[in-house]
Amino acid sequence: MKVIFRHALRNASLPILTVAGILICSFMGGVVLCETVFALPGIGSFILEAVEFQDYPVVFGTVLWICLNCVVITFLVDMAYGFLDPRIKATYRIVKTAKSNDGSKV
Amino acid sequence: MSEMPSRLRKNSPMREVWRRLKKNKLSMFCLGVIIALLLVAILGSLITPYNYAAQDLDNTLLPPSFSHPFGTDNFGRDTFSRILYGARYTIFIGFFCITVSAVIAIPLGLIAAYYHKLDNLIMRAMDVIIGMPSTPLLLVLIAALGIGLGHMIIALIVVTIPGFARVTRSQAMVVKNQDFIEASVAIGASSLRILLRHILPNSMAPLIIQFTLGTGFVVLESASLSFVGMGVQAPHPEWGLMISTGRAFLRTSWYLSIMPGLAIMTLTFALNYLGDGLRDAMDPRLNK
Repeated sequence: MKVIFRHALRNASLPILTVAGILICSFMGGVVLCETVFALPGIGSFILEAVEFQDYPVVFGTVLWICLNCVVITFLVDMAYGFLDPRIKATYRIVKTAKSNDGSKV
Repeated sequence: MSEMPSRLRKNSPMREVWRRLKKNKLSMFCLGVIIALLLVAILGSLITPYNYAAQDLDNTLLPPSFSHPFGTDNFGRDTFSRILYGARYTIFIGFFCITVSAVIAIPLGLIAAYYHKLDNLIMRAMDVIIGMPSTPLLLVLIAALGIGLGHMIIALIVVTIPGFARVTRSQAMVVKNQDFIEASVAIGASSLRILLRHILPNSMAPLIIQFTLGTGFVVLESASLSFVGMGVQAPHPEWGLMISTGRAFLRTSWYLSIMPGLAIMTLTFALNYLGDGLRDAMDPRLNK
C-alpha cells in the first residue's frame, strides 16, 4: 500500500494535475451554462445579464476575473510539478546556478 | 500479405486512409449519420411532415404519437419537423465557422512555421486567445459585437482559429525539417511553392482531424450560446434554443427539451468518433 501511494501515485499525479488544471479552467466557462440551468445567482448569470443589457465594464471585468483565476490555477499547477517531481525542481536549480556563473543577476 | 495486390496498384495516401477507415465500423456508422444529417439540412422543409412555424393551438403540448413523432410544443408546432428544419442552422454554423477559420488559420500556421521572425508574433497572439476559457471569450466577443446569428458566427470563428493555427504550425515544423524540403530549396523552388506544394499537402492529416473535431466543438458551443439566448433568436428552430424554450415544460412535456438535446448529442458524438477514427486511419502507429 505504501508503495502504491507514496511512489506510484506521486509519479502518476503529474498528468492528472495537468488535466485537472485545464478542466478547472474550462469549468470556469461552463459555469455560465450551469447557472442558467439551475438558476443560481453567480458570476456566470451575472455575465449573461450584463451582455443582455450591453453593460460592457461588467462583462470585461468579470471575464478578466475568470481569466485571472485561470492564470493563477495554471501557475499553481506548474509550481506543484516541482513539489511532486524533484527532477523538475532540479532543472530549475541548474538554470539558476548557470546564470549566476555567468555573472548575471539571479 | 493480403495487402500486396493493393500495394502494387498506384495508391494515393488518401485512398489508403479511406481503405483503413472503411474497416472501422463505428467511424463508418458515424460518417453515415453525418451524411444523413447533411441531407436533412439541405432538403429542409421538403421532407418535414409539417411546416416548422405552423401553429396548431388545438393540439398544444401533445405527447409523442404517430402523427407527431416527437410531440408538439406550447404553440402546437410539431417538434419533429422543427428538429429536422433546425439541422440546417446547426450544421451550417458548424461547417461554415470551421471552414472560414481553417482558411484564416492555415496560412497563419504555415507562415509561423516557415518564417522564424513572425513565429513569435503570430503564436503569442494565438496564445492570448487560447489562454482564456472559450465560453467567456465568446460572451465577451458577442457583448462587444451585439447579440445575433452573424455576430455569433464571427465570435466562433475567432475562438476556433488558434487551435487550427497551432496544429498547422506544429505539423509544418515537422515536415519542414525533412530532406525533400531541403532538396526543393536546393533546386531553387520559391518559398510560396514550397509552402503550398510540399509542406501543406504533407501536413494535411492532422488538419482533417482538427476539422472534424472542431466542427463538433462549434456545434456544441453554438447550441449552448443559443441556449443562453446569445445566438439564433426566438422563432427559428435552432436546437439549443429549442432546449431552452422547452425547459419551462420539462416536468410535463419532457420531449420538448430532450429530443433536440438528443439531436445535438448524436451530431457531436458522430463528429467526435469520426475524428477519432480518422486519427487511427491516418496514423496507424498509434493503433499498436
